[in-house]
Amino acid sequence: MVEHEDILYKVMNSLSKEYEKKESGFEDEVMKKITIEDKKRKERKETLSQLVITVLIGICIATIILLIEYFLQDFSLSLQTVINDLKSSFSIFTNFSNNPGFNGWIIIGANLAFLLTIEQIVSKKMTRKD
Amino acid sequence: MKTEDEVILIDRIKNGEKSLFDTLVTEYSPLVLSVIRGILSNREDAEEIAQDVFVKAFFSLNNFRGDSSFSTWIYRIAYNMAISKARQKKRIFVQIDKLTIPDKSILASEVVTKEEEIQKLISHILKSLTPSDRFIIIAFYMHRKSIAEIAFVSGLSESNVKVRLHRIKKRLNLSLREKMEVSYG
Repeated sequence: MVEHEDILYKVMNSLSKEYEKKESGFEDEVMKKITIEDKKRKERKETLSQLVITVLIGICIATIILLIEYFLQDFSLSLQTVINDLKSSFSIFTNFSNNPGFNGWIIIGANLAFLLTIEQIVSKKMTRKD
Repeated sequence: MKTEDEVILIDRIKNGEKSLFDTLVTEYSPLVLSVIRGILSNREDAEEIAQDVFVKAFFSLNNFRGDSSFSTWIYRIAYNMAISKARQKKRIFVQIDKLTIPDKSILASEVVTKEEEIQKLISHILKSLTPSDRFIIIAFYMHRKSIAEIAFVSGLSESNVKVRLHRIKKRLNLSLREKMEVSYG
């Protein structure tokens, strides 16, 4: 039994030499991967902070507009008023859509949105290639 | 590398001297590679997984508080990544009770020395173990880890590690004895 243990240790020792082998440049490859991952993480962090700033600015602007409306134009925050305002906005939209030039403007808008999306995709691909 | 030097080195890396991490990679890559190759049974993509282990270690370095040695810490990361890779591949492993000794004709097919033959036999048995059982054997015999260390790294209880180790050792010893008897007639 003891002899078998010795054999096991011996075999494991020679196996470990085989298992520990590494190709040259292993360290460089690790450092390269770390640099790439670091860059990715920084980009992610930046995007997230930009998103947070945008949301915060949006909230600020909405609050300021609401306060101006409330103090200067007697704006009421009651549910009924909000519903009424929404209804009138909708009727304005309905009237606007009946206008003969409406479809033309919709097509122009959709084209613009499409072009902007394509531009975003192309620029992202170009950045990745760089 | 001395523990104190290692602590200083890790502190410097944490403080922004990222290029010093290279030293830790050189120091621990043999250990990490042998854990991964041991668990995954010498798979070709072991080097890539080992690189990912170091990348993960680098970005988790702030979580390393020095409660255990860096060696144990990275050993644990390597174990977890290798085990999850093995699970991903969903390879079918033979249970320890169903172990078989390779066919004598396979072993005799090449002109090999007795030691090489025994090494082949043990490698074959290792390959037929489950990844976690293989890790126990490798950690115990190859890396000379204690039962407590193996339990800490694998997340198993010490008694569970002891039982598993005993079963595998028994099986390995039996296979070796059978092999010896065949060799010596």
